[in-house]
Amino acid sequence: MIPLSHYTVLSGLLFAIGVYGVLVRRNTIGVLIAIELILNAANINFVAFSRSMAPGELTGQVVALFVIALAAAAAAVGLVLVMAIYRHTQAIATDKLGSMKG
Amino acid sequence: MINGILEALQSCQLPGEAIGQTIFYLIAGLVVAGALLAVSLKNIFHSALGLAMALVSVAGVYLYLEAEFLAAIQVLVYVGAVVTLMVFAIMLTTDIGRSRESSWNGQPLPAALAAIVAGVLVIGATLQVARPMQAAVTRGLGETAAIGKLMLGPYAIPFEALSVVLLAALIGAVVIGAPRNPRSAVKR
Repeated sequence: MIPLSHYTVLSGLLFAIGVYGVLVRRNTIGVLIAIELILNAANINFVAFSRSMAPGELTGQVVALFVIALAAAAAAVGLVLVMAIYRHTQAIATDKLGSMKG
Repeated sequence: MINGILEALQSCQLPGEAIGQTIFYLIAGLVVAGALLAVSLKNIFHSALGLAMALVSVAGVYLYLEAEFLAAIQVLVYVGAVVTLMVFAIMLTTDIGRSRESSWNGQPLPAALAAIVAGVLVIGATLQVARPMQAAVTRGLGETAAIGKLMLGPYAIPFEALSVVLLAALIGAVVIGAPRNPRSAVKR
């Protein structure tokens, strides 16, 4: 059986890679991709800790399902915002979006 | 079926367990490799494919945690919907392969430093509270039914709030995404 610490190390690595992606990307969609990685890292921890501490209860899985649904909603709204901004400015680079004026 | 294979692997003596562990580390390696590809590739379309690879592998990790329903939802919602949505957005906004713009903001060192600090903090904190795994409670297919009962029982209010959030996201996406002047859009 895989010990819990291996899951948490995997989740921490995924989280660190996601933070790096959010900070280093210039493309807005790239930032959204990195945010999805961070959410998955959190989900792995939710399920692993729930499985480790209370195997019979499925609380961690239910929370992970909520996170997945919220991530899908966030991705939809985020990508629509990206496309609306692209229609205005023809650019989706984060450093070119200094103004909220159209 | 996969659960059966895993159970067979776990119930075997040492060789079977060793095989199960090796496959887990392979899957974990795929998660990390896919994530690294997703944040490091120049072409944003290839990054989305790296994200898909990482997400499918995370579904494999869920199988090892005996969360079969969650693994299926992960593939359906993340790989089936979110990645597809991202690929659509990439195709509609960027000239793939022709773009001369850099994908990075030129700050890799500070970003790597911040990421390493964040990762070390998270891993350290979770390792401190990590306890040995408790024995599994085998439910088989009853697990999905139990999740449904939880969602409509103790978690009914968050569940309903979530459906309102999804409705708001849907309406918001239509309002933001719709062109200002419908007639000009038809002409184009």
